[in-house]
Amino acid sequence: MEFTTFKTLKKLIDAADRAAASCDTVSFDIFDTVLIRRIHNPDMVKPAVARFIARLAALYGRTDWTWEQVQALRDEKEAAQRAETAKQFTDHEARYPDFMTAVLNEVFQDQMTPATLEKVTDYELAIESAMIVPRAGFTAWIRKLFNMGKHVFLISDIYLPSAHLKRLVRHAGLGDTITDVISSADSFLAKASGKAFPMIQKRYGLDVHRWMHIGDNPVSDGLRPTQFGIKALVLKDKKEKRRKTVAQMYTVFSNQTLFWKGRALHQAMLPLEAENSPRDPLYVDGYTFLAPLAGVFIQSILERARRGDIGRIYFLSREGWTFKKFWERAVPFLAPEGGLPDIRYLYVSRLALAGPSCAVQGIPQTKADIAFQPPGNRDMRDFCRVFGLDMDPLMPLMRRYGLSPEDALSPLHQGWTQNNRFKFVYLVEDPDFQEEIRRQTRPAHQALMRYLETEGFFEHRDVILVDVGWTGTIQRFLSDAIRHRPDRPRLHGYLFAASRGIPYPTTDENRLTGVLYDKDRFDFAASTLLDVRDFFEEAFRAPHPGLKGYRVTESGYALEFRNENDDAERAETAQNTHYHPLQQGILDGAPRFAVAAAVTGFCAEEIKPWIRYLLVSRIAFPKTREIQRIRHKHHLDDFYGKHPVPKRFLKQQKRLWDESLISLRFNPWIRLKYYLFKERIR
Amino acid sequence: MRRPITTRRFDISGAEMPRVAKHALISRFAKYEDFSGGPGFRNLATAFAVHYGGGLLVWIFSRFERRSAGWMAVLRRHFSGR
Repeated sequence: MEFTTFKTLKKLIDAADRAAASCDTVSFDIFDTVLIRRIHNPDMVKPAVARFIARLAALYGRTDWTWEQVQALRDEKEAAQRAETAKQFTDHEARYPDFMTAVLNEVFQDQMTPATLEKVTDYELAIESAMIVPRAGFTAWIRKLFNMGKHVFLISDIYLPSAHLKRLVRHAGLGDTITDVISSADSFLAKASGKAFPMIQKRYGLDVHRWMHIGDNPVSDGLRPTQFGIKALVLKDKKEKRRKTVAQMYTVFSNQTLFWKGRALHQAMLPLEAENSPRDPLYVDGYTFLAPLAGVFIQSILERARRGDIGRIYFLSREGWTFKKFWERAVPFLAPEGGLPDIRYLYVSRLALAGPSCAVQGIPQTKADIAFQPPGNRDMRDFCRVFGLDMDPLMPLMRRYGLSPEDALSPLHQGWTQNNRFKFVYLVEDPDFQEEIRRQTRPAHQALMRYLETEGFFEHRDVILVDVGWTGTIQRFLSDAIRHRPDRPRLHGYLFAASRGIPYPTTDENRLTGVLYDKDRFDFAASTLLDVRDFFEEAFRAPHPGLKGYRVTESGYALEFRNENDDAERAETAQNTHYHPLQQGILDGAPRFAVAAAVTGFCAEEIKPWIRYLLVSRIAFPKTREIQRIRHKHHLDDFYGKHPVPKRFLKQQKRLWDESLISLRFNPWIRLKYYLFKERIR
Repeated sequence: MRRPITTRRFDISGAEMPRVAKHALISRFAKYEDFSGGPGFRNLATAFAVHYGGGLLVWIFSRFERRSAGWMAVLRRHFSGR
């Protein structure tokens, strides 16, 4: 009897379906047959586990183990077991719990416990599960066979025992359609020598003549079962071979140049089979463009947090909401050893913190000028709105300097004079003005302190603050608000991008770093981020309303959220709905990015050349339809005043994404013009 | 229009090879970004061949498996990076 080879999955299933009528038992090879891997080489999972073991050992104080040494030890122990089993069995098989226990005994020595092996096994199976994808054609057919009452077995020649394989199979969604899973690691009898089939036949009492086996290996799944009298079908899937060739190509390229590392990681993130169903275009944008960006951001923060001196990580509202969710989905794969700081979501906003930041120190000129940074802010009414002040008690002080509420204090607006500027500066320097500011902002400051104490903000020496960007105003205000406290933590701010439009008062106690872009380490490609800040804010923003302020209550404090039910809020809700698929794409991409990063072992800096390419191609040189679908419809900013902005200023601020669709489609030089010649830094 | 994330050529939707090649080419002349050395012409050509001609290549190598063993050895050396 000969086995039949098929070049496509469909042809094999059609033939097998016909043959199944005369079979009681259908068995399958597992890997590269029923389940495929995103990577081309299954051994690529092992370094990720070796890195985990090395980091775990470091947490136990055993810092002399590098991951390469752990991997070499694993290879040695596995080879030793195979040599040992070869003395008694034809197949040179190994069993994972045995050789991994030997590895861990040597690494951890007297600190080794069964829980350590369990932890390592759980991680290896988690990575394997994340890397395998069930073949859609087989999944449906296996279910049909099982429902017809056939015995369905999955058989594999692998070092993982059947208990572990069952976990993988269950994770792939096949657990309830399989009679049993058989591994060569349990009996050391493999398909490769053909010894597995008689063992299975005897164990389950199977009729050889009514048994069909399907697999991808011409010897293990073709020749050997045929020799035993089992009908064998072998799949040599050309499409799958091509896919693996692509994956292998990028892996090889990634060893050659930095640029391809990110691309190889991105390839390992891609959905396959049933996962790769047609999606909303915004979902695709979220998964393929924003998820890698967010991934590199989170990975950079993780690398910083690993140094061990950080007490807690605070994700600042509202963009921190998405970053926090991304962290929660990514970190189990990127840092399974634990030992990372606790994370919290902190409800803050520029508007809510502006007032409390003045309660102790008052308001220096640089901070007062922040109120007029948004171009829509014009006069003292905007100043009072931004800092949460009541203007009436300030009126006598303003009159002292001849300043009225309507006087333009921003040079962008009509009516501004240099004299107005001087009046404002003298007003700010007035001690009575400063005292009135402190008096008015004290209650909100007290409420803020109570809130921060509840969140454990003062329990640690060093904390990380995570935000989208751009000038670090929130961190500046927070730092001013807590400066008087002896138990204040050192603030380490990490922004998605730092434009540093206003010089940041960096000290040892208060640092700010832009991760994807930082003006202090200028990067031309990444500076494209600054052109679409509103888009990133909308993409990462939480679906809850913005925070307006903090209020003291009898029980402690209350957070005051925006709840005005006005046009702006309704538009924001519509924007949230519009961007929901985009955010879903970002979050679905999180675990895939993390697993790909864990398997490839690339750090954030190594991925950045590819990230820069994504930024240039998607922001500076986007297709017209990409801008059309992705540019945000509405952006709400309570810091921003309602005064009309002069047209000349709007013209200066115009960016590529603000251009009309006709210009974008028919002007061939427009993208290059904006990218090379338009000023981006402000 | 709804579309899958992985294209039929196993490329990334929205970041396909032609787009990468376009920016690599423009950046050679406009000098606006070198992407840390960039993709490299040889690797770009290989990526194009595999993504766009991969189906044909796989068919040829599987149809003429024995006769193409020599070429396969050359490609394996190329792909292994040695």
